Amino acid sequence: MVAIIRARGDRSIRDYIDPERGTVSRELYVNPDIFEQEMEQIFQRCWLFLGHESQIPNPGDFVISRMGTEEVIVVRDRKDNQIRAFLNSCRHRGMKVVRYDQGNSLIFTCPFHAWTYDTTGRLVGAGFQHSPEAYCGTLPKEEWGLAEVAQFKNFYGSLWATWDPKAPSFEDYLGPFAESLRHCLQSSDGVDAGLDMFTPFQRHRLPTNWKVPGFTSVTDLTHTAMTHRSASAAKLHQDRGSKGGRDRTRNAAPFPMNKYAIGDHNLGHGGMCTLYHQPGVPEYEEEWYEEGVDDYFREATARKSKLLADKIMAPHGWGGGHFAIFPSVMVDSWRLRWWQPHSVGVVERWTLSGIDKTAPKHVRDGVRHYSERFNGPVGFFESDDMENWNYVFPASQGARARKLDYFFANGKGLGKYNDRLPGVVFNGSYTEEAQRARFSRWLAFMEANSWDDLYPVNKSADHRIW
Amino acid sequence: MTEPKKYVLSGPNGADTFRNLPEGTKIATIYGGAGEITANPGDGAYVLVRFTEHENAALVGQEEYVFFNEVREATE
Amino acid sequence: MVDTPNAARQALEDVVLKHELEQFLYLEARLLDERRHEEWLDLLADDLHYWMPMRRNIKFGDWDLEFTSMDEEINWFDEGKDILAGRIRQLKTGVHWPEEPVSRFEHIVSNVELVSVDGDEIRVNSKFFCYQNRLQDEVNQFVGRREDLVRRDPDTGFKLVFRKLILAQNVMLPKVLNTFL
Repeated sequence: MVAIIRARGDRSIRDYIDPERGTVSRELYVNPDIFEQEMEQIFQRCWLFLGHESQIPNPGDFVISRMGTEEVIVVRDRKDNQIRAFLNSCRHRGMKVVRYDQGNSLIFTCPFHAWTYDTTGRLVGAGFQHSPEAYCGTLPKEEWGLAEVAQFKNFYGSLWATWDPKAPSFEDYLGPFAESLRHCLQSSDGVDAGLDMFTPFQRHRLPTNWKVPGFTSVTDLTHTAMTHRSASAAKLHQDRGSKGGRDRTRNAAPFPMNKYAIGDHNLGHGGMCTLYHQPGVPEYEEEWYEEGVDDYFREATARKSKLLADKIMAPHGWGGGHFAIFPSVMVDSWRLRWWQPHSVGVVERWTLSGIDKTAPKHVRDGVRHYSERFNGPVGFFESDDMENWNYVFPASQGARARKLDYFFANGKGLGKYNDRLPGVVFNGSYTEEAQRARFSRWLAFMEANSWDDLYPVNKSADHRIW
Repeated sequence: MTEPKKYVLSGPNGADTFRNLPEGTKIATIYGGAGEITANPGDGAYVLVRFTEHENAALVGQEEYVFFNEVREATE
Repeated sequence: MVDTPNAARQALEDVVLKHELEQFLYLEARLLDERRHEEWLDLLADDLHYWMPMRRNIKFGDWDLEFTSMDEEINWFDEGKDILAGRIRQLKTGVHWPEEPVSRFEHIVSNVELVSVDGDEIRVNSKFFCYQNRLQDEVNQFVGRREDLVRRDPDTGFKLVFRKLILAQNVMLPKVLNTFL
């Protein structure tokens, strides 16, 4: 019997992964003690995605987001216009301070005892604060502000935070994927003009462990043919609508030489990507369902191609695939999808998508409608994923089932280091390399006593376990 | 000359009236402070007041959030 | 109180019309429950707009903020008959996993209100309760209101032209919404 880990740094966690066989114990997905440890060792340390600056354009604007199991208030300050993020929990007795999804506020007042905080998180009032019979002038407001994230980053409009003051900078956390993320946050012609995201967050619940979708999606191309059989059979193309433009090229050239799967075992990120290289991006492929949208993107692609001539671009998610940021964010061009754990068997899926600030209405509508009908519980593509991801959990949870291992050995040992791409690179798409990379990083986090054990990442501190 | 309007802050409409007190409303506190509303967050709990009189002299001329049950009187 | 022959005739016409509308809405529900999706599709006008906004947690009085905007924001549904037809093609593939095995849906429609009549077009409101039971113990419930615009039609009596679905959810709690409400 494997012992359940209880303390940080307990190396027995390593027993759950067998790098030789390429397996992961199901216990890691169904055990509530391990889940609690993940919230401490991973979600308290990693950089997590909060949202986008375009959701809160004006001073005093706020939106409620999550960092794993906990809610945060993301707010643009009224005075300095800076965006900050705070735990949504009153410092007095822990009540949820803000219960509205979004808004514009001068202060955030707790409905319990009226402790109130300004948009910099400072405690600026409390019920009976001046009463000679209450606090009597002994409330040290400066010590009782809202708990603020330790580090915050606005990265080309996308908002990220970590609770750990020792975490490396966001760019270092992403490593080479920072450039990839930047490309996904650019307007479609490759300019850093910023995006407008479509509000609000798309959110829905899925009864499964967060790693089931979080560690596989966007890095699991062997699932597509079977899971999404109905979408292709019904001619509901998965990408931009139902024209099926990309199917043609996929069938014509099953493995273009510039299509890769990458898994960065030291950073935990990875995914499917196309390596764009001189003379620039590939020829434009018709793919949008709504009229006139292709015209816009064809023209933008031409400009992007010109802009990027002579450049080797980082792998990113347009025209070739998508990638994941550890622990649970999926990135495509103008779209982020991420998983918020709630408990060992419940996860919430969030999506935020957008498009160029300057895009005309019909293009905005085309991209928006695509996001609506593709994503989440009504998405004709993702609804198939939800069924599989859901029933993995009950079928793995039983006393017999949890003693088994999951197979993660697809493509193991076939990937190689490559001087142009991060991590272990597999020439082709149907490998589980990126999923193995996430478990390499997962194990490093679960064993680490602090960020000192996790960064700097270099060859001498190689976290690759398989 | 007409009397300045006093807002009724008690009774069933009191919270809503307080939530909507406009900027410029004169406020007197139960601790003897006086001032004018410079902002109303609309939360039903606080108004931001710039004090012209305050039991703590250091706060005269300063702004502070005043809790609704510390307001003795609100006048147009 | 009915005090003129004209008013009496109008009242009678309204009762008959409301009855016809109820029959239409109940038929729609039954076709969906009996998995007769293509017949349901026949009840939709070619220019149908099927809209289900998301709903925010708002302050009392901030009514304008409650529903996501049809034009600018993300909605649960904001589409036409062509996309709905695609969804039905998908259900019929036999390999659409969240409907394999098929669900037991029960669509209940009530609170039917005749709102207004403008020539051939009629506004009618109703409420829905949709109970989903599948596999051994999976249960989902979708409850809300509808604001419909229907048009008289020689073949089917009416066709649905516009439907606003007001679902009583913020975060979508079921993992999949795979029926039509």
